[in-house]
Amino acid sequence: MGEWTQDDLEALYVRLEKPIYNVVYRRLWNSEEAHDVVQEAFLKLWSMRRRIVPETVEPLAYRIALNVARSRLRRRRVLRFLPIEAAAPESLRDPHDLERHAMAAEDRARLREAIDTLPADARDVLLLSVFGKLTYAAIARALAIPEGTVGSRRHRALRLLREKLEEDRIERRTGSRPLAP
Amino acid sequence: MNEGPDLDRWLPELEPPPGGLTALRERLARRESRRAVARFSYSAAAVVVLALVSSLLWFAPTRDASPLAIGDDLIAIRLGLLDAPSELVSVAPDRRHKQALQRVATRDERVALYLAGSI
Repeated sequence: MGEWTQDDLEALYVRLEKPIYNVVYRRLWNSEEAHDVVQEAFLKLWSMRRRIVPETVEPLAYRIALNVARSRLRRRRVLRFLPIEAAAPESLRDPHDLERHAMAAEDRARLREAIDTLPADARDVLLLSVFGKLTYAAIARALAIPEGTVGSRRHRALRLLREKLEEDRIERRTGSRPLAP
Repeated sequence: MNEGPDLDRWLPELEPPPGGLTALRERLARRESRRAVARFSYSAAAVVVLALVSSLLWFAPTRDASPLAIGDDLIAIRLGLLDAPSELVSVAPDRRHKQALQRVATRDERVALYLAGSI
């Protein structure tokens, strides 16, 4: 195993910044915080550089980023009991929300709710496969799950997302929720 | 299941805020300098503790008449390598018929050592 250098770290950052940011953003829904999580993940990766195996560093980077995002979410749940100003400073309220320009606010809210209500295990698989373009083996390694379950979780996430968004679409058109099957 | 267009619509790829690599380099540099300061502080603290212990040992009173040294003297006297001290020590009258005592010179005047033997 060769020594992992800062050049290696930077090359990996250039390659993975965008996909990891997109995955983390769909967990935190906050541009600045997602960006900070990506940075923190790479700092953690750097502190583990002596143990890094180049062949598995990519799933490891996703795994660390997801762990950091989860811990931020836990912290946020604690802070929810504080006044909003204390819990979310002005600087953390989506200053660079590019999605704002791509979708109407209502659609974004519905999409966010649909993604948030997905089971966590299925959502992570979907996000990693969509943004990370990872193989099933790499996703399994990133999430520490058996490779055989990746496909079924991805399929389940897509089905639930589709159902939820379709339900919302009908609700908006008719003004009432569709009857449960 | 044709998921492509739906997924592109639901999960559009967003651009992260600019300057990520520069920010990462700065954070790495900051972290390394913090670690260097911490390493220096630990080393300095270790040197101070070492100096303190050394100075305490340096200024501690020395004892030449260690038990080992006295033991060495006794052995040397027994072997005839060292003269037995000539100074006689008084003994209580009721014990004089039983014991003779001689004071053994040691390197520490605070230590009094006597040779005792039956008469």
